[in-house]
Amino acid sequence: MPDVNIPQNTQEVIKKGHEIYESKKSEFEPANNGKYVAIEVNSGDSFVGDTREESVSSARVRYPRTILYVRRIGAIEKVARHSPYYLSGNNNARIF
Amino acid sequence: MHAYFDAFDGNPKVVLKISSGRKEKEIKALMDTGHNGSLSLSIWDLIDIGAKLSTVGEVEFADGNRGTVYYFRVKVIIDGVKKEIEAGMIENSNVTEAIAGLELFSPYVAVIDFKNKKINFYTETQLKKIKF
Repeated sequence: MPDVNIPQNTQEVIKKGHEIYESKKSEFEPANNGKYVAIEVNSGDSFVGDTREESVSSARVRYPRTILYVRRIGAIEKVARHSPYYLSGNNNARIF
Repeated sequence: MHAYFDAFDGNPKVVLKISSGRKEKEIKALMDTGHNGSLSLSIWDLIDIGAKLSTVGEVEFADGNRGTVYYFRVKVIIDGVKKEIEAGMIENSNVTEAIAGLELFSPYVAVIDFKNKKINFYTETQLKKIKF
């Protein structure tokens, strides 16, 4: 695995972020379904925006450097990814 | 925005410039309308431009599995306009191709001609001037 700088506490950020989201779920859903929420996990502060970028930009005013937990409100975000068997040029190597 | 069907693999691609502030590079990204986010980049592209981790998030992959995605602050230059986005990291280090999703295309109207293998992006202003 090539080296990208990912701090060791990110799993803790995800765990705490998930817990905070679940505890405040009724504040977010269903009124803000389809929007995104950025959560600063130490304070529990949350910032809702129409897009991922908007929610993060709002949070960055108060927390310029903290690693934030972000998720889509309502149904969780769907993303595509290449399968572990990906080889360049193989059309069937993506997971849909 | 330059987009085309790649003769090599037959998939629709867009050409983008990405930057983290210091280094800029041009990439081709697979157009994926099943991807809610803006852009997913390979580890290699993120290292190349020196992108910094910004957020983490939970996502559902298209095979139904849930997982974690690391997001990096990246500037994307489209038609000369810089836009700051949160780009997801593709963890499989064998992958070199980026994936561009719905959010990146949201300011545009796309006309995809599957028969003739052509893709054009228009702004709403441009679209009003075109007669189909």
